[in-house]
Amino acid sequence: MSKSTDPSGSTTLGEAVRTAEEVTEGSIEDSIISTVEYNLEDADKARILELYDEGDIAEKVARQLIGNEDFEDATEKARGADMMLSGDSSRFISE
Amino acid sequence: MTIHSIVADTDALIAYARLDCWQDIIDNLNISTTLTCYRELKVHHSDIDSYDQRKQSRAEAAGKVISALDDDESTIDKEFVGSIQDEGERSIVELVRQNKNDIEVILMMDSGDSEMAEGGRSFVRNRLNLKQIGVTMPSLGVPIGVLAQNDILSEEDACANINEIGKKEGWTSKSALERIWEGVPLDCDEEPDFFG
Repeated sequence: MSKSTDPSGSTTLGEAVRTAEEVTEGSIEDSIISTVEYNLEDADKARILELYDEGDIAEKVARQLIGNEDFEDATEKARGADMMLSGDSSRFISE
Repeated sequence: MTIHSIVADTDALIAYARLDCWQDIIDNLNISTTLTCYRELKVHHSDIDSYDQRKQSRAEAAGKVISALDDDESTIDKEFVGSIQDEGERSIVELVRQNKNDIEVILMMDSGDSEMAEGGRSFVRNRLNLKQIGVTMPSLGVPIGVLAQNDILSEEDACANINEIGKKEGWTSKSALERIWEGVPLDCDEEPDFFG
């Protein structure tokens, strides 16, 4: 994952954020995360969820990047698959 | 009154009626819905002569569901929850609240407004503590996996129908669909675009 730099390579993304926060005298973290979330495509979001499933990223990070509602929906769908397909699924079938 | 362990709302039933395996669903899967959803289906079906192709297609699918609900031989039925609710998802919440011991699965297609958490799946998740009451809300692809697991659908047909659902539900179903393929198991050649 590369950081943004100016042509001289002297300014990192982190420095830019800290400078902006000093100027605005407040956190701009939420704005940055919203922008990142907005720019993620479906395949990116699916990959982020996969990283969470595999334990490579924390739940908080996954929620921040893909949004709370989508995170809840995706994890509920996966829980539903585990529940319906484990054990004897013939109970859902008419006799 | 016998409530089935699976309940489905209007959009979920319409989505299923558009699949090639619809007949297998109404011959084998025990599903209950509500009178409110039945009324919504009739509203959709009234668009059958619409010039709008999308509305007409939806109306045709709604007609298939109504026929199945009116047919005593089918495995899907409708229940009255004591009052007519304004919206299908509200009636589903009420049905689950009244039958917590019988219902295990809620099937809904629409994710709802993710910003406002209103409507569809968001609405239900915010009204019911699903884990606490032992109810879950899977991808619509999972019951198709159950049909394959019970040798009602062939592997090829299950893959085709699950992928069709996956494309409509979008990326939030990715983990769920992978679990179906591993849990049944299914070896599907084609995958929805977001799997790439």
